[in-house]
Amino acid sequence: MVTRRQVLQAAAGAGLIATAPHSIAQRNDSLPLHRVVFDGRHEPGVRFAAEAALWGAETSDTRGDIAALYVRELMTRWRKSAIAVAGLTPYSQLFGLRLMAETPRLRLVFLHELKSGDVYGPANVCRAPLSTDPAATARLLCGWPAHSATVARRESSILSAQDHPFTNDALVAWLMAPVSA
Amino acid sequence: MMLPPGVSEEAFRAAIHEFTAALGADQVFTSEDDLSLYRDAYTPYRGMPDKEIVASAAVAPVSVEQVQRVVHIANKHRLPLFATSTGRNLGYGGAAPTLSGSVVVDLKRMNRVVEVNVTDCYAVLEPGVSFIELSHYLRERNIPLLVSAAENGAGGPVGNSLDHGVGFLGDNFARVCGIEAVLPNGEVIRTGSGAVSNGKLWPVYKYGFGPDVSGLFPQANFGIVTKMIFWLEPEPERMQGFSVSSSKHDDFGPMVDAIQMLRHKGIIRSSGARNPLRAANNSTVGMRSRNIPEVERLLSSPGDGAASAWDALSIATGIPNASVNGTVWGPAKIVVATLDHAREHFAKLLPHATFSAGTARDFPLDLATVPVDQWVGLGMPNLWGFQRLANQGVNRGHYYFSPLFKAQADDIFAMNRTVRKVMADANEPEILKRWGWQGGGGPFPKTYVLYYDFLVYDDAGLNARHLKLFDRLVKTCAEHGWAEYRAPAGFQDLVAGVYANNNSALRRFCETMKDAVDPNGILSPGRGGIWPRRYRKE
Repeated sequence: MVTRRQVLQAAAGAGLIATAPHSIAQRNDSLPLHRVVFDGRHEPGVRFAAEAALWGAETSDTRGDIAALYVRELMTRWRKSAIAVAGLTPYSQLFGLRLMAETPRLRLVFLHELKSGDVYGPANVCRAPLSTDPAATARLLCGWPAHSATVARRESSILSAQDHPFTNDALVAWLMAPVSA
Repeated sequence: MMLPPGVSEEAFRAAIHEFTAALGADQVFTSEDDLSLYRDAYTPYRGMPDKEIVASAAVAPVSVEQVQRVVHIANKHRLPLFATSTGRNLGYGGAAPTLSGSVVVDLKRMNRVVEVNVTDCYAVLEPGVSFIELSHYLRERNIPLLVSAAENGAGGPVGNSLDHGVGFLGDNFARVCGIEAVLPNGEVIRTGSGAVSNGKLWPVYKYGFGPDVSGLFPQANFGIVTKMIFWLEPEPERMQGFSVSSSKHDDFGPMVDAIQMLRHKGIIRSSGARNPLRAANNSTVGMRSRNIPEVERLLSSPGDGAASAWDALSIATGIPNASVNGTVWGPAKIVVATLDHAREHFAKLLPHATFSAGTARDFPLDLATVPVDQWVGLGMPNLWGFQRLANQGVNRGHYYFSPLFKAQADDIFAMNRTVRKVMADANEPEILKRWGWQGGGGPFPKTYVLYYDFLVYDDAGLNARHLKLFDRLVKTCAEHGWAEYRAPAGFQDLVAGVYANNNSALRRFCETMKDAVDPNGILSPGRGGIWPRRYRKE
């Protein structure tokens, strides 16, 4: 979980405190989001999670170990039903989680390399302007329209994420959504 | 729409309709998007779409009864099936079938831990249970048992052992005490003591009476395994590794013999041998070349360098010429005594060698104190293997060349000379550079195996060249008596083909059995190099 201190620090850094309430409910038409995952060892991840928390999302810190997070927080939830998860992590962590997400038949519908600002794979339905700002990316994912996930999944292939040469350490923002979204 | 070979579109559509009635529309998959889950994400045939092995459809039963219904429908329409459990066999084909057009039977939804018995140390598992899920199940209930997890924690005990895979405790099929499987005619069989009605011994005595047919299910196509008795390991009080190293090149042989003898005696639980200096320039995944020109010069020289030259280089670089390692576990007092014994054993044999004990790990583990990359080796599966194997920025996955060889120095040297010559003759300097010089490890008690990852690239021409090299390596190694223990989907025939003693009597025997128990040839055609009559190229 992101601490209140981290939230306040990040929000202050992004100039958000004056404009954003402490919790902003997701829009009615946005994709139901179970959780936002970040790696707290990376500053952009903390900023991403802080912004997501302001938008009302539950957040979880992988602390570098995606397996522990999967077992602790995702496996049981996904066994009940498929539900979307977003994140900003090193690519290597997405790589493992993406394969585990195949079991509840989630699709990777958004993949964005933070450093370059490039959007990869099945994210073509995203029309919003993208930047390398993690807070802006968090706002985009927390408000992702449910109908866009359906469109994106039609264009999605799990394999398409492999069509881009990430290094293990590349910080990527991502969204995985259920087939039936 | 891809059709299975020898199946009409009408029959295929009828079968899909019947699968839907049996399993529900949401568990029958035919769209390209859905079927992408059953492609080999690491396909060696990247850039060669006509060669990639793909499924025509997939179905996801949730019970033994549903598996039986799938098998009945497949028999009715003579539709080839390919069963997969968790489908995470990355590097060996993933969830991809052996025959293009097969209908994948995805068993991931059959994911119940049916029973864990603490007294007799076993679990009864369905095929969709992953290593991390089983480990989590044990930890959540404070059950002090460990699962022999593979590096990839998303894989599972059933699928891994059915591919003769290995875990941190070694050979996983050796831990299988009994199997329940749906046969090609739809009957359910239990092997070993499980054949006794109301028998109590299924989880503890594997042979039963008469032939033990459990061995017909791994790397084969005689049934769809729906349950497995998998032996677990009591958590030890302590686990500790050690290594022995020497700068003298000629110490390698005695050191390998000595570490293996400790293993044969049951004193240590795992063993491995390396020549760190010869391997200094290796750059396989997870290793970084030290780029020492003299190492490459010696490896490429006639006889791959004199011992005196290697000794001098070892002293100059500080990198040992010989190193072996082992692991011990049990009560702390016994671990301490065993390490003392090993230290004395090597000190008598090689007084100048250096003995180093690793960090003692006491159970229950405080995982916060253990680096995540060491979890698997301590019986705590995770996804770190995925993280390590994720694309390295230059490639699109990998597939394994994994020959077995004797756990003896002469064989290790000979195998390296042979492989290096094949790579050099093929004019593949990058492959040769990554190989460098390989030692061996011992998941199996009396043989070594190595895992060399062929990388997959965007360049289809490069991939095609590497496929030819892989073929040449398998065949040349076989000429020297070394065979693969496991192979990706596309190489099943290649590898099975080197097990050709007495005019391929083994293959012909398997084909005879296949034709008898699966006359319609519906179950996993080609798996293990075993083809039913209808698909056989006579």
